[in-house]
Amino acid sequence: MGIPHRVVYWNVPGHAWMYLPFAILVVVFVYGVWRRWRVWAKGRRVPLRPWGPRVRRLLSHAGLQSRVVRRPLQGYAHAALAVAFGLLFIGTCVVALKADFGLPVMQGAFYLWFESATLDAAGLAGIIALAVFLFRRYAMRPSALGRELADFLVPFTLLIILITGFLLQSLRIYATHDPWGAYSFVGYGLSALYGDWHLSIPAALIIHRSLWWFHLVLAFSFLGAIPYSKLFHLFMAPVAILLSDPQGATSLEKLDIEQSERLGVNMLSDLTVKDLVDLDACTECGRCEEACPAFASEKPLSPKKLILDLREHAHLHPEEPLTAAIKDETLFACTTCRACMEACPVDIEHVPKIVGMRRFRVMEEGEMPSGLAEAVQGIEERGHPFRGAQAGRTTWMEGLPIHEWQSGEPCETLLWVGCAGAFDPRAQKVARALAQLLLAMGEDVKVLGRRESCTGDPARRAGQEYLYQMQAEQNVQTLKEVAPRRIVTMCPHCLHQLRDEYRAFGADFEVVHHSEYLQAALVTGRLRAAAGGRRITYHDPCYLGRYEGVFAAPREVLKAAGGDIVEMAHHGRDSFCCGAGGGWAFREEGAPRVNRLRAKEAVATGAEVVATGCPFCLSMMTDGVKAEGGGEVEDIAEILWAQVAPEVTAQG
Amino acid sequence: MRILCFLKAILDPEAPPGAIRFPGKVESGDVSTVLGPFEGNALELSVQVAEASSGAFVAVAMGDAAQDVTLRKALALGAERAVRVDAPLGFQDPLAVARRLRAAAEAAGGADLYVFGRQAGDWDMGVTAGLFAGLLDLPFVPLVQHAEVSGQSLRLRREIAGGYEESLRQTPLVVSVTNGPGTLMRLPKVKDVMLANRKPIDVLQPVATEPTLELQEIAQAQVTRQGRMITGDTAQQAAGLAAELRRFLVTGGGN
Repeated sequence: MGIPHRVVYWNVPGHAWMYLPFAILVVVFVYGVWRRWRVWAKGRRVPLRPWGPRVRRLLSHAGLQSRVVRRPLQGYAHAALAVAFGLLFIGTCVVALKADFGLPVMQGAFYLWFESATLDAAGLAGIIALAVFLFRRYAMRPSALGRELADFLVPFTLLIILITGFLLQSLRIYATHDPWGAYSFVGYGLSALYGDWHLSIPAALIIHRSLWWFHLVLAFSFLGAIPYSKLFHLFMAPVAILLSDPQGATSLEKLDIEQSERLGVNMLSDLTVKDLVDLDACTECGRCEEACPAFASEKPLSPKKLILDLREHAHLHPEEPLTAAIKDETLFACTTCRACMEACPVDIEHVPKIVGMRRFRVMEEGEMPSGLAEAVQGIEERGHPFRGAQAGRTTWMEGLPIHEWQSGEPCETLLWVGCAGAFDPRAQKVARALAQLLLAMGEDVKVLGRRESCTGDPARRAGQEYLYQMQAEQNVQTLKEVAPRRIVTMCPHCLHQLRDEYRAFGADFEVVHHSEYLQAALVTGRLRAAAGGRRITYHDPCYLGRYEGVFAAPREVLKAAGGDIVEMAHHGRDSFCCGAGGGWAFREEGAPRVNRLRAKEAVATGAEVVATGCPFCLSMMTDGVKAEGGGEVEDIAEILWAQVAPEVTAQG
Repeated sequence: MRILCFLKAILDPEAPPGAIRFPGKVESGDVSTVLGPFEGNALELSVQVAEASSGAFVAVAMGDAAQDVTLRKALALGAERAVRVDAPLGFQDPLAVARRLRAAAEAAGGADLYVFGRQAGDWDMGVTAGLFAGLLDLPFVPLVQHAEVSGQSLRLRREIAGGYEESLRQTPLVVSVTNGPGTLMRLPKVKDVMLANRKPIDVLQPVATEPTLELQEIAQAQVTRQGRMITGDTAQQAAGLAAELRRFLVTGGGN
């Protein structure tokens, strides 16, 4: 028997002819990659340092596929196929090392345990994974998965390659009575059948030889198709992950308004290399579409289609403006909730592209949907987006011992009320509840009053970066003058601006959301709450959760207020937008409305109270929950104050 | 076609009650100055006619430096020049305003079309355009919603009960513009806004004129709410409501 091995190219006398299709494959592959490279090369280069967090993200998201497996069925099937693909690739390289370079690598224990047993296991795992994929796409038929010809050919071809591989192996084992055949357990099992079928050896040889060429041509075709299909994600997904912002691209890029030749994105060259790589990294898995509130509410936006449309445009009309591919209705449908980006297994950044294109439409062409345009005009004219507000900046705090900061005064805790807290009658009540809680903690609370102005967040998300930057510069200047020890805010949009996006304008303040500040006070005993006992479901605001990573604090506050928390179908990182983001708080939305969809989930929990931590969510959820026949919608500050107030009174 | 577009910025009508202090002198306090409700319509129509006739428009405002917000907007939307006739904040006699604007129009070399907003949003008199046309002895078409250039004439559209009327008018001409689907002010491009912020605004001293109308007194409306809940079962509530309504009809709501 000798050293365990197998003869490469057994039964294939003219095998040297395979270098002809191989050469074609190489040319086709290189051309395909060059075609894509041409597009990436147009992109703007942005700084990538430090690399550390990027590499860690690569190891987690690509190496461990940590995002892919969030959907266990298809996720683990994909991980298995990826591992199998890798192992089979290594196995094929080993064969090449032996056949083309004569290295004695394919023998002995390595041959038996790796080249035979492990690769058979890999092939089998691959077949199972592909069966799962085909079953999902064609039997379960989720709407987010496409069913074009290519969607079928990709898994089907790979499936045929793996099956013919096993058939070739089994025929070889059968015809050669391979003494080590049992290590190739799948092929060995199949070979046992041929005896039962009385397959003659000459017939087996002919079938084997024909099948070998079929398998080879099919495999080469498959490899050649990689740079022309979604299979290219094999290479581009890791690159997209590596280039993705380690902070999750929550902060938009500060646009150089004076120096930019064109404001915003309208040509491929306005996109970054990362943006263009994203287009080729998309696997068309549709998770973004499933997570998208605009898509769910039948608006003309699917994040997946947006990426695919941009990809098609980039290849077919690389010199034409993007407005030809992406319509305004699509661009302005986005709520900027980042659910798509959180769902994307390969870290495609949809929202910055959308806002980039909005910037062009708004700033270069003066286009903005009505409602949003008036809100943005409000920010420009009176420093807040609430049209027709009958209040001043300090109306909400009448009768409370809170003072506007006076020039020269020290400032311990600055309550950044936000425009909603000041001008929206419902949010004013939240501001009062929060202020009373802060007073109960013995805080010396100050507000900016008339010196507070909109952070500019609605303008920035709408694409009006110019106005945003003016607001940001003015607010940072004011805050530097006040120099507060800390800033507490009840608006997650203000929080995101003050804590993160204002850093690009020289801000460096300690900024906390009221949920974080109240939770800390409850832990240290500065606040004591009476026992409650209501069933509460908590709606995670996108800008508090996905943008700022605050998930636990509001829930802890609710628990401290005696709440019995029941979670909605979508919560935490997978939370579903209330429909207010991206400027929608100020627009007329036709049915079906996002807030109704979210309210349905909230009402389905059977909770008595829907809690949230954002004045915009509060407003949207109030309307939605009322329409869906649910209970109260309250801010965490209101819920906590209701439990704290009796304690304060009891202490006198 | 050469166009003069007369614009006025007013104290924010959405300012909270009490933020603008009067009687006596009007004090703006922290209230911002914004475009009047129909100024955007006048501006839009001016831009449209200037574009359609390959002409140009000049923006004219009267007031203090706070008027610059409207003039800058006009410059951003393509005004060739911006002129401000200096005047203090507060009530102005419309005839005196019309006379001063006539002087400004003459200083600017006249125009084929003089465009006004339907009425300013502060004093809401809506007569300046008509008085101005009278002083210049020009025809005046009020409440225009659409204008189409046809040589040296303009086809003007106005809304009437149940439809609209169109008339062909020879220039020179004075129009006042009201809101309509075609006169919604476009958004200026940011580059144009930035350029507009660097352009000069010419300031003219007002010509001397005798006021024909003087403000005697203005007073702030006192807002009082006198709601009361009618309680009880449905029948009691209905009876209570009926009694309230009867009392309201007799007394006119007074107590």
